[in-house]
Amino acid sequence: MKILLTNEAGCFHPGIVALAKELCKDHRVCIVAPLTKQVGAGHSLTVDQRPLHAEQWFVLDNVKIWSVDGTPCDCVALALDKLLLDKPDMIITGIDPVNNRGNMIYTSGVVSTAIEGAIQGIKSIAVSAVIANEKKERAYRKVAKFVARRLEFLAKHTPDYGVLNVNFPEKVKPKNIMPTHLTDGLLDNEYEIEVNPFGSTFAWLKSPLMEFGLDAYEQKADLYWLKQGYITMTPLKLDLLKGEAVTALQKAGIKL
Amino acid sequence: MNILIANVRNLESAELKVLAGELSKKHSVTVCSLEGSARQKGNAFSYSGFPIKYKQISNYVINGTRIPAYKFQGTPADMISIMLGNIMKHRKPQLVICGISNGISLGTDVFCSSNIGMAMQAAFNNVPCIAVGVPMQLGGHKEADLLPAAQFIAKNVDKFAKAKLPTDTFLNVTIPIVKKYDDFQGVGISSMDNLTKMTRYLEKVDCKGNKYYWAQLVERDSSASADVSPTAGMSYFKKNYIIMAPLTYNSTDVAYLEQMQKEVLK
Repeated sequence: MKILLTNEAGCFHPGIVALAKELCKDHRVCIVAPLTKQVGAGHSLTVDQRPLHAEQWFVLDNVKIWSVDGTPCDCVALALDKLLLDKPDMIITGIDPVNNRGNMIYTSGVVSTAIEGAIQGIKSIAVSAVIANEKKERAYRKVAKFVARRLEFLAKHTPDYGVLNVNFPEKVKPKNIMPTHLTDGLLDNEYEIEVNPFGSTFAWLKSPLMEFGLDAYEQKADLYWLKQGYITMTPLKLDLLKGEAVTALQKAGIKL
Repeated sequence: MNILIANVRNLESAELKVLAGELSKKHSVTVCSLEGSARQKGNAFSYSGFPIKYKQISNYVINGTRIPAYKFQGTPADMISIMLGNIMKHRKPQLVICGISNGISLGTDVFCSSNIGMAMQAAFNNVPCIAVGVPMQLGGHKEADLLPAAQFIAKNVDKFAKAKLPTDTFLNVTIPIVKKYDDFQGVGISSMDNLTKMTRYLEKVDCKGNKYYWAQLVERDSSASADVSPTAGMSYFKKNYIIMAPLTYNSTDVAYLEQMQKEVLK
């Protein structure tokens, strides 16, 4: 199979390298990823600000490594349109050292690149884990091995016009797999305001990640199952239209 | 009513001024905007460890009324998060209006749209929210062209705030450009799916012989694997109907999941 790998942490990040090393044993793999770390880039694209540059680096175990000086989604769009000679059969993004669950998926470059891949009509899987020592390639090996061994299983459960979001818990037990939905968590970000010596005002994010309340665990969705030590699989669709809201909207009586 | 209007172009853009002008006649309005261009930023968020710079503008006046205004250097989602999480924490708006955006978000455009990104961020904060867009005009629209759209929003603003939509839902309102208010033909609820734009690149070579790529948005290639069918929404929109689409941030494919659970948990 021809596989395109990408991430949000950069083309030399140990997470993507570990995944490439495992997958290239049986597949044709190419990395196209951002040159610099782009955590929280979400689905942003570089459009009218500046043009993009791509650079091909060394070849690692038959894996070509490309960097793009843009966002994670720039990498996917540019790779599919210009950089790759053949269209890949599948896009795998990650391994992200932090879980992407609940509403956080939209700020994650890893899930967003998978969404971009799906928009462009290619089966896409986003892989995230809990890695304490982010810089060590060894720490990703277990997750990378699981993805490589169970790739057929994961591909089979990826929607045709959608994304499979896979999260690994801290301790990976390959038999504990749970298909589940996204946790609906509300955001309550807190900021601290600071005035710098030049008199400019800045807002510092105090809680860097989305805080889920106790009820979030009661939903028995991805957050809950990850805590229980399960590998979670969530199929995501690209159509965000909420059919159930139509009646409420009709009742609101919005008219000219 | 306490309303927050957010825009990604700048505080002086016609899109923001027309809307704020219409709404401030009857409501208490706060405006915020980014500095410079912030197209296609989606839900990007600055987790980078740097703080977000912002400034309160003390002399922002529209139609003789002084309006609290803030300008930000950051992403659209950062801006909404700081407005709701700090600046307006103790007087939360009853409605957040994102727009008017110079450009509409159809189908999967919603994932990378800055305007929808802001609306989604407000929905995460559990504040009723609408994203408003008009068809794109390079360089921006004139205030007169945007007036009917702003009037429609102003007329229905109470209904938008009080519509009992599920908490994970926000509205994407797409408004055609018309000469006068009476030219609007009606309001419809519809999906705007499958007419999305795709990102393609224009390859060029600079004076040193290096390749570089300009992004361009093109109509979806009809050979793409997903089936393409023009929706009713778009055909009505072209006949000057205003189209509203309730969107959710919970994108779990429930039907697919149920099938998957049956197979995997067997």
